[in-house]
Amino acid sequence: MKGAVIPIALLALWEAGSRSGVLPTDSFSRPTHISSAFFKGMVDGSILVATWQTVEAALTGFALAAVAAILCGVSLGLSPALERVVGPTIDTLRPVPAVALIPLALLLFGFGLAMEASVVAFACFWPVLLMTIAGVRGIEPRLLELAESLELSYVERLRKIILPAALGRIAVGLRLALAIALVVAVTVEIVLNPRGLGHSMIAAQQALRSDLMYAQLLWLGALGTALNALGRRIG
Amino acid sequence: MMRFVAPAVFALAVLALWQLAAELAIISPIFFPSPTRTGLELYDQVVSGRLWQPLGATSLRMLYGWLLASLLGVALGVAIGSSRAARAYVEPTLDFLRPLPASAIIPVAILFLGLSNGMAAAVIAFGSLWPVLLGTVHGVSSVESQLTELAAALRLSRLERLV
Repeated sequence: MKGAVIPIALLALWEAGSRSGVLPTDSFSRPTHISSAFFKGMVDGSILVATWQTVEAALTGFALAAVAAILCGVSLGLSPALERVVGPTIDTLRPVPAVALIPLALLLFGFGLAMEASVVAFACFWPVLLMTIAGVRGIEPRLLELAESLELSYVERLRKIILPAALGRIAVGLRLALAIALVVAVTVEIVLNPRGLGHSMIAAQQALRSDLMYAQLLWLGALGTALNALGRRIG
Repeated sequence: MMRFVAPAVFALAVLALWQLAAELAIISPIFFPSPTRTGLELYDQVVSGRLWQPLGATSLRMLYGWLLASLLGVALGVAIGSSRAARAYVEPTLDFLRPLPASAIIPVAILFLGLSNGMAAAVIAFGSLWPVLLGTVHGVSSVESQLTELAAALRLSRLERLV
């Protein structure tokens, strides 16, 4: 209840300031204009289409990264020798900001889903990889010996012993990656890729439609909250 | 000895694979240059000094944004964290703002600040504000209650308690 006081007061002040002319409408817009822009965008479907494009790219990149990172992470976690060999290369690549790869991704894939998803995948790969390595490394050695003595095949060992035992940490990595995925997808759209919510926000800003821009910004906030809630459920 | 050789060999193998892919021209070399060409260009940029100016500008913007986020984060965090009432009022609003992708602020920042260093610093500050702010709120609000009672008994002012 108390939490609603500040947002409502801010909105009321904003509306009043705009109507009395203190806040210029071309940059601050006005809550009533913003909500009508939002409903118009929802009814004609433009916001929903842009939302789907953003979510599609974020989830595609996330899923690719999750599968690749869990597979690599299990191998590296099971074999410390392999990890010592590959580790320095990983440590060199990991700090590269994902957004710095946007120009390269554009050269390789051109505009569209593939380019955006590849940048998202690069960003999401590292947290899942590191948490999977940590998770597998933390498995009780006796469990692995048990798998050995039962003569389980690699796939069975993976499915019945390794993944369930390392699941806690892997889920933490997945949750981190999911939050990163949306941020990176929106960034790629704002910087370059002509699709999705990020692009339609920047287009609204350049068309001096600040009402539409704020409407999409608030919608993006709701989307982020929803993804966070989803992430908390898998974590 | 082996501890350094094997990782180096792996890193070189990755580079060699890249070189091979570029040599075979699976993707046009215009779009996908070989590591040797990339390395030469990097060397050229470093030696001619063309790299330093943009690198300095990026680092400086990062520093400004970080400073702004730290100042705001600690100040707001102490204000919110030290009062139970403030937490009840403000936390839901913060919970809504926090998952907002920092990059989504870019169009708004351009609208108000134009394409300037201030705009970049504002977006960076927004993005890096949350860990500082939430960490401070948590830190201040979990100061042991015995300590706060002691401060009350000593009749310290708000400022004295803080320091």
